[in-house]
Formats: sequence, C-alpha cells, structure tokens
Amino acid sequence: MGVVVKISGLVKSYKELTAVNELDLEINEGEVFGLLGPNGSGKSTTINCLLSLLDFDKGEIEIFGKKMSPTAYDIKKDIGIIMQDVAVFDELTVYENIDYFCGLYVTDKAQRKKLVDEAVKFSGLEDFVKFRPKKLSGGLLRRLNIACGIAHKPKLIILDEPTVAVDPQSRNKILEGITELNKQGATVIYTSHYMEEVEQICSRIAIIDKGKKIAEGTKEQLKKMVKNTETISILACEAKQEHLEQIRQLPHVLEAELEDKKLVIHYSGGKHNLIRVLDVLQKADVDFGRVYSELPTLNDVFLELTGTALRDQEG
Amino acid sequence: MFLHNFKFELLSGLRVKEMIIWLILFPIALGTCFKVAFSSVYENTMVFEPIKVAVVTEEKTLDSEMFKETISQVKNEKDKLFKVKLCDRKKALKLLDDEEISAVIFAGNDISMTTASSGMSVTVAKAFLDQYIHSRDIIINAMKSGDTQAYESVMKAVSDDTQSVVKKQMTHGNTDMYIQYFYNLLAMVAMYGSLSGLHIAIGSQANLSALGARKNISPTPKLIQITASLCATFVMEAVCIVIAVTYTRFVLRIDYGDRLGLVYLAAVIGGCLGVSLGFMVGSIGKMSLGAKSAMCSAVSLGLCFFSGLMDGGMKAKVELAAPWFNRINPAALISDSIYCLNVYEDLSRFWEKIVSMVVITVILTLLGFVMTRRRRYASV
Repeated sequence: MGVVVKISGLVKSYKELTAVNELDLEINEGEVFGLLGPNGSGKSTTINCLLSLLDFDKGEIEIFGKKMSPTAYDIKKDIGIIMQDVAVFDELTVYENIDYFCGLYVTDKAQRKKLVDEAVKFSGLEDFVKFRPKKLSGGLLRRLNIACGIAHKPKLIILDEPTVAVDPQSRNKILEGITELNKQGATVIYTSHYMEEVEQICSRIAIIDKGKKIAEGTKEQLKKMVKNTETISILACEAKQEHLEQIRQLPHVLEAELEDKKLVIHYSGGKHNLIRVLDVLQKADVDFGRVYSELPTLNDVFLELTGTALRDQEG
Repeated sequence: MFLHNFKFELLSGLRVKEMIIWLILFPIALGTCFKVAFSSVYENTMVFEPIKVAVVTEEKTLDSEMFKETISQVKNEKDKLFKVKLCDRKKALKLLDDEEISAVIFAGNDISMTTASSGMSVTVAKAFLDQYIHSRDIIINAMKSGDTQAYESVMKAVSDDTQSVVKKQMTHGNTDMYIQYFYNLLAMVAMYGSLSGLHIAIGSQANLSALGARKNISPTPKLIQITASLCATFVMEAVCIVIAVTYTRFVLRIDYGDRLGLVYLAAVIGGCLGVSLGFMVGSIGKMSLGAKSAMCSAVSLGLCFFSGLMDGGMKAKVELAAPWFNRINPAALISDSIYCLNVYEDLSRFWEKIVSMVVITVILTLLGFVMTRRRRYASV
C-alpha cells in the first residue's frame, strides 16, 4: 500500500496560538483515515494546510508522492473535498451545482454527464435534481455538498465534519456512502468530533488535541491504550456500601461506585466479570434492574490520554 | 474551462433576486417616479410660451409702420417670440387689465410700452423694444447724415448685430435640467453593478466564503475562474442597463437625442465600471459579505449623490469646490458622457469621458486581480 498523504513536522500558528504543532501523519492508499479531536483541536486547520489553502510556518506536505502547492493542479484534479460549510450556488439547481463543480475537474462533456448522473444517483438526489439548495432539507443539502465534492471520482476524498447538524437518517446515509466510496477505491480522510462515526467507518485513527497528535492507530490499538477495558452499570436500588465493598474485592475491578441507585464498575481486563458481580448481588439478596456492559470507547481513550472527556469539549 | 465557468456564473447571476430588484425593477420604478414628478414641473415652468402683447398704432408714421413690420417678422419666426394683437388703446388696456396680455406697445412717432406687472415676459418685451429703438436711432442718424457709405456701414453693422443675437445652434439636443436626473438614474444602475462585482470577489476568496474555498481547491486556475466570473457579470450588468435605457427612452419617452446607439455604449461601459468598482471593494480585506455590501452600497449612493441623483445642482457645486472629483467620480463620468452626447454636436467630450471610464475600469479590475491573486491565506 502506497502512502497517499504524508505530513511531516507541520506547524501552523495564529499569532500566539499554535493551532497545529509538529504534526506528522501518513495516510495509506485505500484507508479511511479518521482525524478525531474536539472542536478547536486543529483538525480543519490541518486539512486546510493539506489543501494549500493556508500558509503554514513549518513542515512538508506531500500528496501522491508530490509536494502539494496551490498550483499543483495535477494533484488537485484527484482530490475531492467536502467542507464543513455547505459550498454550493444557491441560484443553481442540484443538477447544475454538481455539473458546475464536476466541470472544474472534467472538461469532456459526455464524460461529465455520466459522472454527474452517477453522483446524483449515489447521493440519492434523483428526485431533487431540479430543486434549488434553499428548498432542500439540511440532510439533503449535506448530500448535495458531498455529491459536488465527489462527482469527478477523486482518488483522495477529504471530508471535514460532513455530518454536522444532520439528522440521524441522513447521517447514516452519508456514512454508508463514504464506506461505499472507499470500497470503490478512494482513500478517505474523515475529520470529526463524533467518535461514534469515526469508530464506525475509519480503519485508522489519529486523535489530536490542542494541535498535537496524541495517539494514532486502529480503534483496537487505541482502545488497548486504556486501562479501563469494560464498564458495567447495574440499576440496584437496594445496594448499599457493604455490597460495594464486596464488589471492589472481585478480580480485575479498577473502581466501583454507587451513583444514584446505580452501580458503576470499571474493569481492567478479565472474563466473566458480569457473572461475578451479579452473583454477589444475588447472594446478598439485592434486587437489580437494567444491566449494561460497555466496552471502552474512543472517548475513554481521549479521557485517559488528556484527562478530559471528548464530549466535555464539544461545542 | 473558461466557457464552463462563464456559463454557470451567468446562469446563477441572472437568477439572483436582489439583482433583478436593484438593477431592473428599482430603476424602472424610480424612473417612472421621476417622470411623473418632473413632467408636470417641466410643463409648468420650462416650456416657452410666446409673449402676448398688444400693439396700438396711435398715428400712422414711418416709425409705426417699421415697428409693425419688425414685430410681425419676429412673430413670423419659427420660435414665436411674441403673440401680437393689433387693436386700439381702449381694447389693449382692457386686455392688460384682464391679464390676457403682458404688455401694450404704443407705436407712433415715439414708441413706448405699458405693463401691468413685472416678470420674465415683460423683461423680454422691454429688451426687444430697447434693441429696436437703439437700432432705429442709429439707422435714422445715418440716413440723416446723407453719407451713403456710412449708411451702408451702419446697415451692415446693425444686420451683423442682429445676426449676433439670433439663436445659434451651439447645442445638439435636450438640455433641460430634469433630464439630468435620468442620466444619474442610469449612473445609479451602473453603480449598483458594484454589488455584482462584490460577489465575484467574495465568491473567489477562500478566506471569505466556503464557495471560494471549494473553487480554490479545484484544478481550474484562479485567473480563469475570476476572468470568467467578471465577463459573465459584465454581460449581466449590460443586460440590466440596456433594459434601463430602453425603458426610459421608449416607455417614459425620455429624449436622449438622436445618438441612442452611443447612449447604450456609454451606459454599458458605465455598467462595467460599476462591476469593477465592486470587484475592487470586495477584494479589500477580510470583512464579511454584509459589511462589504453595506460599504459598496454606501460608496455607490455617495458617488451618485455627488453626481446629482438627489440634487440636480450638486455636480455644479462639486465642480466649483473640487473639479478633480467630477473627473474621477464614476457616476459623474457616466451621466456626463450621456449629457455630452445629447448636448454637444462635437463628440470629442463624449469620447474623453468614455476613455476615462475605460481607464478607471481597467485600473479597478487590475487592483481587484492583484488583491485576489494570492493562493494561500493566513486564515480561512
């Protein structure tokens, strides 16, 4: 697998704020690479530097093995970008918008028509081709934004938070579409602060915070970085402090708490943890209700690495 | 690539509602208001009516016959100066009392005039009478001298004098002051083109719009994109201003003279000037679209104000206080060019204005290109 994007020692500052600090990234062909971080962590700045929209203070950026620059048109023709903000003409119809942006990359009219038709079908906008963007719902508008970015069948697709303010149905459709594009051969860079999305579609993930890469790897590799491997929550109204003490004595228990009639137990590995804790409650004749067992999330990874939950920093 | 960009920029531009409102509907409405407001004023104050006078011949003398002949000649000219009524003293004075005439002229050995009031018509009648008496006295004196050569010289001089006060066609067309408002209306349409020009700058800058960012990332060079956008906007502006000229000329029947083709040319070049002004303003700094739109509207209206859109005498005041400003004010140049076309037989002043407009358009466009040329931004 060849390296499609190589970023070395990237530094970008806005006066005294260092937005990106000595960032190194390598993205391989065929990957769906996730750039995960809270708002203001430097994800979009990294993407804008990568696309040569932004000046940067230090570093090297190569795409397809060539140095990226604003006039590297041979590189740009193989890149598709879906920005965080919807970037379409309000006065053009859905079809005309896709046709216009595709035309910036593809000059042959017949080929372009075929590509535009495919993009319309791919994004599920067949029934809306004559609509103007203002008449589309938020989800459809996002789909149009994506269709405009991918119509020319780029080899590298960069999506910068494409699901912000999108309803769950459209979000799923978008995520399925990205997976489909990857299956068709495109390398994808996906930035988001929604860890569930990144976890769902990305084959490799870099977590960045305050402009620095704090972890990189597959989701499995990242989750191995945290001590907490499982969290069990049990609704137990009659549970008392003495029961909590018994649970703390069980193997692999990192921490056990009683929070508002709910037992929350964190584990560091081990098997059959749930059976053991239920056994303790049964023997103590404590009734229990809902039981949850959660594996670690990327939020746990972020929490462990930064001391702050990813969710706490959003918005 | 150029044609692709041109086509879609044109298509999207022609569908912008604000453009239709401000560049087509608003000028039509304002022009109609001007027409309604000024046509009554114009008819009441500006249309020359022949001066009604009564001539009373109290005794038939050489003088009285000469006078009647002269005044009848004046009466028979194409632009009637006097509407003469020959009657007796009693009837003439009655007409004067009834304000049906402006003056009574008594023609005999002496010529005198009686009026009931003052005013422009009385002043004109008195001036005519003074001129007549003066000329008559010179001729009589020359005749009395018996010097044939002197008499002929006097007759020639009087004749020349007469020539010097006969109306000479120095101007070409419609010079009434109210048409200035229509020239300025066209200038306003041209200046509003700046809003379209503004959108080119905003839409091509990655740090000003998401659309600009997306365009910057594409493999189509920025120069091609901006040039295509500018050309498309020039065409749109030309369409709007042609509609404005056509509406005012053929619907409101505003007399732009007999060189309408050149009026269209001046208006279209003015429109391009407006677009380039907006393009240049839009390229300055990183202000929001709203702030830049407000700035552009304010600049456009300000230039139109100094050109005389709101006060017909403003341009003359500027000419006295800061004549250089009238030479560079795009709105003044546009209205002046059409004025020159309509008023002066000679086209040199018109072409002078056209050249000024083209030069300013080129300078503003180049400045816009220089300011939008950068390809990487400090922040987006």
